[in-house]
Amino acid sequence: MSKKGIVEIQFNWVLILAAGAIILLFFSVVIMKQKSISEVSISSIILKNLEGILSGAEVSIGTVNSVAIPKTKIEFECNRYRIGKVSKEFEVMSVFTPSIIESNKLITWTLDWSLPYRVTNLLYLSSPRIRYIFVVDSSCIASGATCFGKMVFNSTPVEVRKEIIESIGVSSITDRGDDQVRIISFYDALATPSAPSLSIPLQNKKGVTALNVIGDEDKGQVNFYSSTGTSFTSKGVSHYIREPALMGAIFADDVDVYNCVMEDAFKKLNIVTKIYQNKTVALKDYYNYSLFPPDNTCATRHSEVFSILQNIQAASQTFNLANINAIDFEITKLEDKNELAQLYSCALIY
Amino acid sequence: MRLDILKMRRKSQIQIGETIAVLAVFFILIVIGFVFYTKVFKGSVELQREESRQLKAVEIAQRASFLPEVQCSEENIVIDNCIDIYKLEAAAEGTPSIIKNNEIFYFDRLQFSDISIQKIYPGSDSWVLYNESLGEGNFTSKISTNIPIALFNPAEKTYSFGVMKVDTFSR
Repeated sequence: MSKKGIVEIQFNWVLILAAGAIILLFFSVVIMKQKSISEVSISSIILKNLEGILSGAEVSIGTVNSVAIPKTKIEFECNRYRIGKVSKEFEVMSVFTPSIIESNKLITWTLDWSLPYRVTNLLYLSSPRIRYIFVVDSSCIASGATCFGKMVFNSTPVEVRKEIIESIGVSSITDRGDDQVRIISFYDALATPSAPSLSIPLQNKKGVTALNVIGDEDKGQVNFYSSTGTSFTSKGVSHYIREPALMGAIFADDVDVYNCVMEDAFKKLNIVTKIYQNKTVALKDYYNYSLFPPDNTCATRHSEVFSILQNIQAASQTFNLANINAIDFEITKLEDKNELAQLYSCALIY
Repeated sequence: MRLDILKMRRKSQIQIGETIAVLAVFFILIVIGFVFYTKVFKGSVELQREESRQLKAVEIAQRASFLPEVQCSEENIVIDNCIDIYKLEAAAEGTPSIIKNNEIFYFDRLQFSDISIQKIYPGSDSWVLYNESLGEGNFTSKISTNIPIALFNPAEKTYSFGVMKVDTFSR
């Protein structure tokens, strides 16, 4: 009797343990699944909302928005961005971003890129955790003095954490605990074959990148650098045409991302130029055949423009220095022709 | 003695039965809870999907109305909600049209949508700027957005009233 009682009690305990283990296992599985679903769901919600923010920002030229977002690490590539395992393709046109943004605030800024007609709106992303240091010539720092570097510094929105220092002060840049530091040099020290050492406080700090700008507001060369402990190493050379493209090189810390976005912008330039070509042909035909007597002056204005647009279209096939120079040359001619069209009261070219 | 053994057996059987019954009830409650949760979750997913579709429709409509390809400009100063007829015809006409010829480029931005422009007054006319619509039975939702616009004729320097219709499709 007592033996049977012991067996019965033990059996009960085994049953309780087995049932308890099953229940625990069941809830553990449910919780684990729920956790991963919830992570993916939160990432998707942030990505979806981010797309809305970018779409809104894209069409508001010249505006700066500081948008609060849940603190998360967003990784950017040329046409994609990713939060954790969830990634999404950019639906907006041309976005210049740092490789990583990890902040609870996102700064968006939009500029129009016109050559000389509006091609596309360029969107720039940043965060208050990224520090931009503009390095200019000592003579440029003096009050009242103007130089290209200072002009670019002044054009950058105040919402972005920016500062301007003179070239001799590079070695004394202090570390303020920023996630990323971007040094933009308009002084050609970084362009020399032996790139200068980083200031001691920034040595071995992750996320320090540099950009050297050699050019003016129309076009120029941009050299991308990243830090390798104590000095900078070149990551590649690229080019820009007009200030909004230069801003792209400042905001994108990766030369491949910059080139990729610019190639996309050049593709758009190609399409828009074809549209302007067709428009000028139609306007020329209008002045020649739809009016009586024909307006030869305006017809000539528009027929002259066709070859300029043809050259821009040919040069916009690929993003490279030769094509940038060719486009820059044609832009001046096109601006003159547009002024002439206005002078003769013809329909404007753009 | 035998009666005692029988009583004991019955008692343990009842106890095991009780335990099994408690477990069964417990699991039934869990299943009911799980079914309820799944239904609520499904409802919320559907709600989010609908919200997402509407957001996408607004984004595409916004992108379409700000396309520099067709927007009016005077000395590169863009006029909002205004379409240049000459640019529109240059972009939308021809076989294939410039937009159609670059459909992969535009698909990334405008996706499955149909963008058409109608001139309402004076006179009437219509243009299809972009057409990647889904046929009947191939979409689960279609959201239409009508944007009032001005149509500018740069040669005659005249304006007309028009509507940009943006239909967005979701699979």
